[in-house]
Amino acid sequence: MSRHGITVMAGCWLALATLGCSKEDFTELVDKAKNAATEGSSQVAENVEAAKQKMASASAGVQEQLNLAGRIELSVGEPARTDACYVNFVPQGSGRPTILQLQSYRSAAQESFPSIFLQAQTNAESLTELVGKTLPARLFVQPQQGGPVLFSQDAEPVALKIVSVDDKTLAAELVSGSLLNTASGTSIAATGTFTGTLPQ
Amino acid sequence: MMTIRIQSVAAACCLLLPALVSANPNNEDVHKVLAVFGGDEVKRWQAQAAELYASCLEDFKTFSEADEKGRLGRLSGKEIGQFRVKLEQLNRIGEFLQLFGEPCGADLELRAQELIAREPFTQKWRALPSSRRYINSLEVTFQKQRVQRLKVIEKIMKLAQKEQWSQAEQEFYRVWDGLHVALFVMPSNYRKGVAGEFMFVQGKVIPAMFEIRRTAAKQQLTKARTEQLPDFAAITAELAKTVNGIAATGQADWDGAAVSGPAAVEKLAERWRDVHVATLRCLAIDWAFASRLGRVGKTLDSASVKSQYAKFSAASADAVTKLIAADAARVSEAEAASLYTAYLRSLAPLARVIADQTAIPKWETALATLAAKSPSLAAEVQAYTTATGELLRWRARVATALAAAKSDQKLLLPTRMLDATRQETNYGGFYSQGMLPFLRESIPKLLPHAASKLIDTPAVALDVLRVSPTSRAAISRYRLRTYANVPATLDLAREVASLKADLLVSDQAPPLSLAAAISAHSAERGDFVSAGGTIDKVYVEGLITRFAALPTAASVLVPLGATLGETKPPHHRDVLFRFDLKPAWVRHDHFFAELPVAE
Repeated sequence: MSRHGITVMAGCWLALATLGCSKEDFTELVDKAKNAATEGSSQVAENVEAAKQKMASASAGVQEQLNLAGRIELSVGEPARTDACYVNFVPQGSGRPTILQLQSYRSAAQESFPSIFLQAQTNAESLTELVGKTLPARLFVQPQQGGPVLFSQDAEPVALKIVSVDDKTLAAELVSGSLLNTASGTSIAATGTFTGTLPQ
Repeated sequence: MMTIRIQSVAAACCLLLPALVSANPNNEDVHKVLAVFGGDEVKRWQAQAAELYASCLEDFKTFSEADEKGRLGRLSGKEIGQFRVKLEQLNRIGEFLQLFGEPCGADLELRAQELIAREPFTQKWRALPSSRRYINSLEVTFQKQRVQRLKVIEKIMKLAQKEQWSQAEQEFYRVWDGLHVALFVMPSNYRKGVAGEFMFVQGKVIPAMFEIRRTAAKQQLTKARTEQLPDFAAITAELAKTVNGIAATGQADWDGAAVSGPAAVEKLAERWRDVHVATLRCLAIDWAFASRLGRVGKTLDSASVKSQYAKFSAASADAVTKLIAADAARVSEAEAASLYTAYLRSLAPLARVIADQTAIPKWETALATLAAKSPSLAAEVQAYTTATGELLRWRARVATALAAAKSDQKLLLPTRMLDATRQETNYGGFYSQGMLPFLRESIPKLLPHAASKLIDTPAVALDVLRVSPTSRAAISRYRLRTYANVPATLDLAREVASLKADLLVSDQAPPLSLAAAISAHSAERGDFVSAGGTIDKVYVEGLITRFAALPTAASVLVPLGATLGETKPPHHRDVLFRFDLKPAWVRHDHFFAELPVAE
């Protein structure tokens, strides 16, 4: 079994095991899962489908712990880092442009902080078409819950360059941009990188 | 010596123009009389009172100037006497108007009594040596006319015996006022003597006319109230009929015309608004009635009006849900998309103004069943919601944060108003602790001090709604005895265009979610969550007057489905403050904008 396969199995077991599990037992479970993966691979394989489904609905924290959920690293006056980055590529009907979203949380109900949201419009028909292109985008960053928001103003979108796309990941770079702080009213230069996971 | 601000002669004359009589006192003209809500007779009294008051102010100015120059003696005793009689007449009209629950009457009575208490001229003039001759001649005439007076009293008594009370009163006051022109400058024992002579007839005529007026007031208010009272049962029944029509054929009969579901929603919204305004007027007339005329009878109970209105409002919101669901059940796949977007167009304006926002998720659920009739539409709606939901949520977060940085609880209009109008040392105030503003002293006396604390100072108004799509003004919702007028023609083209771009909306592509439709509609119309700026002007209005005569165009003053929320029924002395706000920033649900400074 490939190393990648073992990691996936370990993830499946972890997902099953950590539903209703405390953080202290976590590392112990990781080791157990890895051991189980190498020993009983056939038995594990039977449960892969069920496990995958459970994994999809397991808390985002699990995936993020295993570094499977992507990453955002921004410099917006201060660093803003998240252990997740989810990509949505949403074509529309009726002649509307397609929407590209990069966000640090799976859904609004699962938002954690720092929270980062980026949205761009494009006429590209696929993500791969965007590789090498730079898109104007709206960017929002809220470092603390309830705290000030850093945002790009209507007339000054940030510039997002799509660096690479494969079947699981999108890598992008915030080439330039300036964000306004809602509390202080000051303008801050924004740079950074997005490594987003595509929906599977 | 306390001085009263006196209008110029020109301004006093302007008061005689009917149009200006209907305006309310404000910081630029504290002497305007309060508006009235009653019928022709009430309006005639108000116009008469405005004339009398202007004339009295003019007299006061003339006498003050003469007094300052030491020339009070040059004035005739007749002028002085007439001045005092006019004040009595003003007081009288104030009492009449109060019987009809008119706040205007309370203010007029206070103005008259303050001027009577405060004017030094009668006493001063009486004491001047130069006045002695005139007074002596009055005393001689007075003795000579005793027989005449007794004949007049007899004449009035005969009218009273025939119960011709109105003529009796007219004759009584003609003589009484005529006599008092002289009596006010004569020694007080003469006034007492006349009072004694007329006591019996006065004791017959005045109470009788009071009862007649009281009965007339009851009848007029009851009639006005009955005319306003909606037929809740009938209009609620029509809601069910409309839903059934849509369920059967996708068309309902509305006032003889066939309408589609979305058009039915618009008609329903219009009717709801009319019922809303009629209910508010009804309740205000109840307050006017209860203020001076005793308890409203069982058939005209305020509590039952409120509860019936609440039930009707719930039924209306529910009917909208049922309409959409009924249409969803019968619509074909091919028609679903256009029906769906048509519903969004009709719902957006209604969603903005209703009090019960929990209706909106129910409408969204019904809309989802409609969208589900066409798989391609449902998919498009899903994609659209994903593309716009989060962006709207972040935009709202930014708008909230930017507005919070600019505004403060202390700047809200009710707080500003209460701070400026409370009793202080050397200021009577519109209220003292634990109360709300009412007429304890006259508006010309109380307003200048309050206005000085308000004009050109910052304030924040909440829930600013444009009166109509093309109106020049927007109104901030009534809140704790305040509301504001905000100019509607603001330059927000850039912000609106940016929002619509984010909402993926164009002439070819309408919004596909209710949240987006509401956002786009309110941005285009100019409805805002809040607006901040400086206070340009302050007006005082009677609380009862504002709502008893509420124009349909001002229905946005109170959310649809709600009533005023006063903890106890207002009195005819209760007042509210209207502000003209010059906005410096506005906050929409999904954007915040600083406005360019006008040169």
